Amino acid sequence: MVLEAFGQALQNFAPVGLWVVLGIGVISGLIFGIIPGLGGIMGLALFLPFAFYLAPERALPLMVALVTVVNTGGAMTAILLNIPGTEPNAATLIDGFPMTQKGETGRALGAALASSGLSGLVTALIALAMIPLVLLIIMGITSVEMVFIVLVGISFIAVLSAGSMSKGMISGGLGLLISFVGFQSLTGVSRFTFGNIYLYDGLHLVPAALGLFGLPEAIVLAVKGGAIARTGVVIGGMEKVWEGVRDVFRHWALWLRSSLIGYIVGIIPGVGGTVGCFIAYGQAKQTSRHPEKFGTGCVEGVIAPESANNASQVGALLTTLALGIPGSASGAVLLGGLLMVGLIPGPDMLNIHLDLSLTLLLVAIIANLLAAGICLFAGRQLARVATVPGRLLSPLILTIIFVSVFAIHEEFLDVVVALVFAVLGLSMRQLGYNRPALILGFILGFFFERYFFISLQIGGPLFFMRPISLILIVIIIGVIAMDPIRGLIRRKRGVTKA
Amino acid sequence: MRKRRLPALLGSICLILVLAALPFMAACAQPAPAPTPTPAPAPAPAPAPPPPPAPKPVSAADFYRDNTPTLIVPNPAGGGNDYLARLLASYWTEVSGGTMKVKNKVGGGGIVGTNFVYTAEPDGLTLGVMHTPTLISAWLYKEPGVEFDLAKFNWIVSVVKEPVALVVSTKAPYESIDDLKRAKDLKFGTSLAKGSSPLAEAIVSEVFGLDSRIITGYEGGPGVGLALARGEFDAVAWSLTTSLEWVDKGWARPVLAVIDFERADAAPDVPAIVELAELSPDQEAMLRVASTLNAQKSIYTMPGVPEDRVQFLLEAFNQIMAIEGFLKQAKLKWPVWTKPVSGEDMAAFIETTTIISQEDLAKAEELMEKYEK
Repeated sequence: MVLEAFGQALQNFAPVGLWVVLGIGVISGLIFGIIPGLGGIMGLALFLPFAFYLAPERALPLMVALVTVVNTGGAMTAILLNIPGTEPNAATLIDGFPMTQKGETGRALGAALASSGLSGLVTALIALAMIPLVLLIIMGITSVEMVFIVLVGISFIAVLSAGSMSKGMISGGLGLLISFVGFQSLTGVSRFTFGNIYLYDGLHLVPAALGLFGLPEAIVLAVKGGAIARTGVVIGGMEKVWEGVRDVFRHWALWLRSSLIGYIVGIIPGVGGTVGCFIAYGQAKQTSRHPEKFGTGCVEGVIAPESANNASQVGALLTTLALGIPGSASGAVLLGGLLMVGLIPGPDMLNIHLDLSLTLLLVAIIANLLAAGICLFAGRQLARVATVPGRLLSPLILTIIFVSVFAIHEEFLDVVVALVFAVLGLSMRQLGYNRPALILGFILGFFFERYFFISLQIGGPLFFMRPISLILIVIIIGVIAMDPIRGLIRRKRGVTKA
Repeated sequence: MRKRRLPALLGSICLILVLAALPFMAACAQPAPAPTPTPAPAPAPAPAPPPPPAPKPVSAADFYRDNTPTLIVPNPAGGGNDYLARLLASYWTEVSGGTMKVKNKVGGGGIVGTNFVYTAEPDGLTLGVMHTPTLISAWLYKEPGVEFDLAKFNWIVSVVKEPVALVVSTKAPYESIDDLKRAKDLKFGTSLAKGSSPLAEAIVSEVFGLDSRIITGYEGGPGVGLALARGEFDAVAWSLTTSLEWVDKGWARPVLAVIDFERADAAPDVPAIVELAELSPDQEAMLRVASTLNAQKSIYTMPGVPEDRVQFLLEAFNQIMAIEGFLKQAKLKWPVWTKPVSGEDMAAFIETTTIISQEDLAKAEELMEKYEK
């Protein structure tokens, strides 16, 4: 039956129409990813009205292609401008932007594109094989385990903070604190809203992220002059881009591990792809022979999160199709799209409509490869952005950021939030505080609080006494303790040699 | 170097201020008053010109054919309200000859979008769709930021009106109300701390004398359903349609009761809670509060819209509800599609909510808190 469905899925690629909508989806996804603040959700929402008028074989490939490549587009902005194009790209800029500053833009782009494209391919194939296991995994991970999965993500604040643990913890803690603003559904209490309806849903992530990362860089570029790439560095051409591609093959074990992490985190509903990206980044640093290079422009710091974020999209797609449960925020919109074309997500998608599900997985593979290919050929030109004078680039970045921030909800207060975070981001930049740690705390704080309080209500203070939870606790302790232990071992070796 | 930096810096700052101020200026823009003309010397009297012909009144049908109404969804794209809005908009052309657009205006749990419709120009071109119990709750409890008055809206139609149903997880060993009565530390699950679901669960616990508590915080229907399937809690009171879906998926046992005064058309074999136990006057009052918070999705427009346009909207949406294609697509999302409630009946229903006393609301809150500790 599976082989027959696979054959039918391949036949679905015969009409030119499918390739046309796939192409539209890929280009749209890249555009929505590149322009900061837009993202896959807005892209899907714009295409939703067409879903009623298109056949399922056209509407769904368009939407799936869009949502699977949006993070690839977002990586461009993260690497070139230090602005996360989408939420999961926040981990990419930690090393991506420093590589641009060192003149290694092409290498960073090549590594990001190759790892995104290939991870999408591999995880789609894994998804095909893992269809029977997906349900077991999703049903086995309860709210209690979710606490520790999120905590593993939060523990990587410690990894990001190496160099100055106290500053990193302060940044992460501030992020957690900011995440608590808003209406708390567990108790029905509004916190720090000051009676303002805008703050009822908490501070919005996009204005905060763009204000924290994008505005300070644009302002510094305008004030200091010059270009993004430091004076004197040589940008290089396509050879640098291909070097980045070769880096992915050189670090194939890291790429594969990160893809698996992203995929597994992606199939679990209610966590979000960002957690997987930071976990992947953290494990890349922990397992690297040169962890001290992370944060200064290390290609492994680009390969890990970019592998994870595309893999998580494929994982979330499978959960949405197989269970009818949105695996991510964009999955919720995709779910609406499935209904609009007359399909009910759930077990039927893996039985009666297995051929369509396989078609969509193949679309995810092809879209990832196509997006990577398009961006690779533009890589040389994209790399030159690093040499554009700041006086030309800065006003453009500022315009795009402010328009994007306002356009999300047509809310002027979003612009105010972006400005406030710009002040915070500038201050943190000057004082050496870790901005990715703040964003990590901000994103994960909401999830941690929700699952922690649910778990307390279910199992009391000893809710963690479950096998998977205990394993995750050991991982968390390992993550936090690894750096100090390594330092101790190095010091002892130094003493022994002396 | 400094001279080259300064213009860029000043230019950037000016650009920031202009861009940041643009949306604010657009919102505050007011037309300038016409200047008062200076009186000219009186000319010689001329023959009076004939009066201009009175403008032909535009019928509501012509108005909606030539203008595009906007249906405001106060929730993000992809959810139930959004799906309903887009489905209705796709059939609007068939009944009106014009087009309709859908716009998501999120924030404040639906309050921002509802405020937007309430304060829009009353020309009949701005309509809203709402998950009614959420906004009834916000309005009754006088949540901060609420500008609208539900009693003043022009209600067009209400769909998917359904009571809350009690179901037990297939992972839990309880198959009947008697099993629940015998259980120790029975766990209910829900999303919000206040609403139809936790109130219904509290009423069930109170009426049947259950040793139970309510776990709050799950993320909406999908989160609650998944937790029920995993066995994180034993039972839940949730909308009937979704509960029947969970039974179909094998996540829940057959529905035990509907938490209402009468049986539901969608499940005529399932008893109402009033048939299973004698309710005290206080419990009946709580059940009345819970009934006002039963799930339904309503289409409405703001007060002050001309009557003929409201009538046109009422007829148009009733026609859409009868289209076979619309029903087929609606049933994909809501397999149990109940008869729509007319605008007039919806207005009468809202009228009944206005007589719920603050005392009863406070008692309902206390009851929920009792089981949420």
